[in-house]
Amino acid sequence: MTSLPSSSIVPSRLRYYFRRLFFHLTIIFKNISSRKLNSLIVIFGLVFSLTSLFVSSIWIETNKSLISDQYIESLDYEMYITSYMPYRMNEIYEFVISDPLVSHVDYIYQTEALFNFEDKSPEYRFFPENNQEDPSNPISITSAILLPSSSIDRIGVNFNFEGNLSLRSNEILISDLEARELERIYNRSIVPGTTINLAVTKRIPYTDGGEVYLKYFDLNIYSNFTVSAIYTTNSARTILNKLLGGFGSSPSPLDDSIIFPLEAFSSSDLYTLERNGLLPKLLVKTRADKMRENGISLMVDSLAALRDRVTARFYFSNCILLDDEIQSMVDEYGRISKSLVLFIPSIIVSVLLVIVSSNITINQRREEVGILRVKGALPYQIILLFFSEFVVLSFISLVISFGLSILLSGILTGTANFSLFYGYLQIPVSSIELNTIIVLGIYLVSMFLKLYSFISQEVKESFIISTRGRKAINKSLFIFIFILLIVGFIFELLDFKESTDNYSRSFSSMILSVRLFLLFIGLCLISLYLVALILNFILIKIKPIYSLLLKKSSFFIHKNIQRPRKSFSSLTLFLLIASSLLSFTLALQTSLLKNIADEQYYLQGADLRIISHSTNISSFEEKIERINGIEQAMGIYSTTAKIASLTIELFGVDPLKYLDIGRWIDVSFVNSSALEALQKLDSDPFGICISDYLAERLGFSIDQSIYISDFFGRASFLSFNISSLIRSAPGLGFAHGVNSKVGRYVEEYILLNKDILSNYLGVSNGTLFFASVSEPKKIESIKEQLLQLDEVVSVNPEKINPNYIGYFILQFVPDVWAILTISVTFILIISVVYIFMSTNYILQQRREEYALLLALGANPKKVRKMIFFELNIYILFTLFFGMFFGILSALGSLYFVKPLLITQEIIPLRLHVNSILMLLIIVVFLFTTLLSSLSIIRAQTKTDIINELRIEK
Amino acid sequence: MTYNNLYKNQVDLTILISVLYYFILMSTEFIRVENLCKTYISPAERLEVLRGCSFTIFSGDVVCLLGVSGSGKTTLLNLISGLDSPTSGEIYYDGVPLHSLTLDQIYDFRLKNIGFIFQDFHLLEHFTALENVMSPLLLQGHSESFSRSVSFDLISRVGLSDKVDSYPDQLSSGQKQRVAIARSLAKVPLPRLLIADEPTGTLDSRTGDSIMELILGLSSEHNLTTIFTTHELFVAKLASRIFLLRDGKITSLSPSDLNNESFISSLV
Ligand SMILES: Nc1ncnc2c1ncn2[C@@H]1O[C@H](COP(=O)(O)OP(=O)(O)O)[C@@H](O)[C@H]1O
Ligand SMILES: [Mg+2]
Repeated sequence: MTSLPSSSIVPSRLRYYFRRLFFHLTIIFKNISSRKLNSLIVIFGLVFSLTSLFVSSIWIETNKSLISDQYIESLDYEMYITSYMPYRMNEIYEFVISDPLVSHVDYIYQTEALFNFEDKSPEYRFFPENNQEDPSNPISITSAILLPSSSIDRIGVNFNFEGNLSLRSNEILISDLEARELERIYNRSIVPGTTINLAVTKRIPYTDGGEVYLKYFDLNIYSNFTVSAIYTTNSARTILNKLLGGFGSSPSPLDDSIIFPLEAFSSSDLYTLERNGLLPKLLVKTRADKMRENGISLMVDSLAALRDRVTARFYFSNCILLDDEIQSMVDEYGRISKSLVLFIPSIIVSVLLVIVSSNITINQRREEVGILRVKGALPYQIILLFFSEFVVLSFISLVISFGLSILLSGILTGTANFSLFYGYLQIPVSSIELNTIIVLGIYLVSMFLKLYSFISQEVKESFIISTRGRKAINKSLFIFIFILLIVGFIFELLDFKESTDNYSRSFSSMILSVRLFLLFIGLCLISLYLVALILNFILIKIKPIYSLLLKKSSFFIHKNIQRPRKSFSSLTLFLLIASSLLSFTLALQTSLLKNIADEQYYLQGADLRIISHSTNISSFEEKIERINGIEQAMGIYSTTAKIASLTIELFGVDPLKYLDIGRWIDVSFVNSSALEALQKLDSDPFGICISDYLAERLGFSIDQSIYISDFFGRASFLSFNISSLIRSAPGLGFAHGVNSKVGRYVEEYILLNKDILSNYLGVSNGTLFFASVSEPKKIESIKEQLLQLDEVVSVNPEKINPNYIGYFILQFVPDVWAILTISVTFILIISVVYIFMSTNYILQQRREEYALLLALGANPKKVRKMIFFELNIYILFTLFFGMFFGILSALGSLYFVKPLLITQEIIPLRLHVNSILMLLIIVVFLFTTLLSSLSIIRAQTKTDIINELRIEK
Repeated sequence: MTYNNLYKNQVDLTILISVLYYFILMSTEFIRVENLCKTYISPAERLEVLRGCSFTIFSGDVVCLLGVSGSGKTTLLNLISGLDSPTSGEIYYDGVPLHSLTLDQIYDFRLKNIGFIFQDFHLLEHFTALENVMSPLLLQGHSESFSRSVSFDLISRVGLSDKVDSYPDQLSSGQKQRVAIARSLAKVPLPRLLIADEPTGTLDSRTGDSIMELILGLSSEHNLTTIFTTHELFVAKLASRIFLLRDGKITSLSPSDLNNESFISSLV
């Protein structure tokens, strides 16, 4: 019967262990709850640092796929394919449609459509258009785009429309411009639902240019088609626009065309057209999830691989990608996600808070540790006690942080896309693990170091390395790290210098910028440690100043500042770090906001920025100027041409008007003021302003002459004089570089006298006008009046180019300045908590002293004054030095954090410090100090004096 | 004239005034306590520590407050020094009731008139011995150099001129108490009342003896009214008047009572 006892022992043993465990847990919870404030602060600090790290990793991971998918979804297609063997297009089609990356492939044809041709004879001459045979009853010829009905879902992104965007087999879409022309011709209104007759056709090839007769066309006639929608294009950067050549400010053929359902064609009709030289093209839509399979930064590469797969098989094909646009999305998103590194200051501060609060807790429990030691507790048992508390606190923080970060990362993404975000939610386990280990590790190590110094106080003396020796080692280690950081920083800085050009920030410069930022923050922390030492030294040495300020009590204050323990000098380092990181982040934030505002102002160009339909510039200028309150108006004449092999845009302006109306800045021109440059341009009819980039690249300098060729693609050229070098112009953006913010997609523009364009080159129409007003107050009513005009599309649009990729990104993620604002707020909150906690703690420790002073006859008012003065010396000094250091660092770092803050430096990013906000921070800090010390002093009542001085205490 | 001399003159002047006081006001009442009661009320209990104490102290008296531990000696001293207020009853200084003074006036009164010596010294740990002595003078608003020279004289007087720059944690208990004694006298003019709450409580008997000797020597030298408390009979014998505090009441004893064996056994 030996089995019986053992079976009964096991459960009782288990019960015993359970009871012990339970007992330990109750002790732990009692310890934690008896120090509620400290536990709360530790949890707060842990939760904050963990949450911010978690949020950033969850957020980056989730948004990566969310944004790339949404972006791809927002595009019509990502690629089009042409081929000079049109009869083999179906082979290409078969191949492409079977590719796993591809979701749709559509055929597209671009040809012509005729209206009002029914009553005309074959000999009817209708081209040149302004010289038709019968101007009172003309034929209308327009571009016709043939697309399958199903493509309507995808091409829709190109249009703003009126009606119902559908393309069934007897429906057509008509552009607004064409609809108006048809209204004039037919003398009836063309609205969605109107039926209409048309012929889709292709001119018979090899006919001579010049005069065009109706007989040159094979007419495929379609009667009673319904106009389903009338559209205007939005010049989005899409494949359709790229295919039809309508990027940027040059008008797109889509603006003046119809869209016709491919299904309405019989195969014989299509054959006739193809015989006449109509070439099919393929539009390719990809699968978003497959595009980002190899990582978002390789999206363009995935697309290029598809192109390579096609051209490797079909040598006669040519694939054109929407690569620039996709890459700019990747870059812009990359910038914002990289700029999360700017959040690091607040994480550092919160980790510091955790370290400090855990140290304070242990300090307060010094006695407890001593008693435990006396009672015979072994060091490991004491450590175990603290460790189990640490485990419980960390566990609580971890759970809170995790829940909070999932919630916050969704909120950060914008409530409009809340459900979308959680649909895509991705939790990067490995980086979350790493973050947890780092934060909790720092906490644990700092706690053990402190605890160890208590427990081993007796043993300390017998250490082989004496304190002095250890100090020497610390010092040399410190210097070593300092030098290492400086060397690393300089190397990276040199690298960075090489990798940046003046205008745009590349992806690699962003990564360098992140590295530089991290090194810089490390350097700052070490320097701040030095500053704190120096500051504490200075504070001890300036006794005469104290006696000057506070004659009677200066002795006590000076003694308190000198004291080794219970001194506010322990505040210095943290407050220095907090205030300098705070002002650093704030300075970056205000500089960035200022820059964004300035840039918007500059890109707006003038008081009024008027976008119109293509219209005669000089008459529209007059029309605008007739509006009450408008001083001057000026239209931009533009056309494209070439310098060497570079395609450029020519902007013709009236220099003196532009000087008056435009919002010029001192860096608009290189080495000259806008006044000089524009007056010079005015005096020389063949003067041009070219970008400094172009001048350098082509080796030209001011006053040399230069040829511009290929006006409108025709073989002709003119010689010009380089009048000055322009960096950017108000309303037009950079002279060099793609300026997607102003909706300009040509790499280079030159500024010249409008007379050349209007007199020599026959440019008379334009779409962009600037105007100045006499009274800024009236601007809103003037805007209303302008919008009444038929020609006007928009006035002072809030987003200068609504298709700018940045705006797409901002739908999902906050801008960098918002990240900085959140960071500033958090550092401020943490600093306030810290000040409150530390002053409270230090004053608590000094209660007995204050009680003694009161017993000796010191007046409470005097004691209060002394405490305030002493505390404020620390707060003000550290704030002053911290802010000074922080602003200095912001100034120093502006150069290399630029890539994280802005994409293009249209307005030079300069440091801008908002002194009111800085003052506000000082006030908040002082107020917190006041509040925290007040709570202690108020508690110092009469009975407290007696209690503090009692022996039994 | 150096500050030192100035101080000496002032001390002389104080002595002169004290002597005058002694003759004119000898046997004049300094402190009168009437029917003093103090009850500590806490949620747990109601503790009647003092239940109607009445006595009079004349200037120049050296009074010992004798009582077992927990009998309320410290409580009574706190009431006398105005650190605490009584539940009922009244304390008069020179015929002026303490409760008629404002809080500010009480602080001021304490600063000018009362020197404190505590059982556990209560020195400021970050002040040197000299600076500890200086602190009441500085609080009184004297200049630093003046306070320094006055304190130096006082600290020499208690025999610690070689320890002026030592911090409290570098001093023995006896030395700390000497610093505290010097501090209790550090007022210009000298305090009228010296309060010592069990000044020898934490000291060994030999050190205790010398400390008592020092206190009483100084008090008689400057003719200070002195109240000290103790729970030890042999210390009480040093006083000119002895008040026994028992069951919240005061009984006046004559020094001869302490030699009476039967009386002592009745105390225990
Ligand atoms: N602030 C207080 N609150 C409650 N009880 C007190 C307080 N101060 C003293 N006591 C109690 O009053 C009694 C007398 O204390 P005390 O005057 O310090 O005695 P003694 O100095 O004679 O040893 C003691 O029982 C003590 O516990
Ligand atoms: Mg006592």
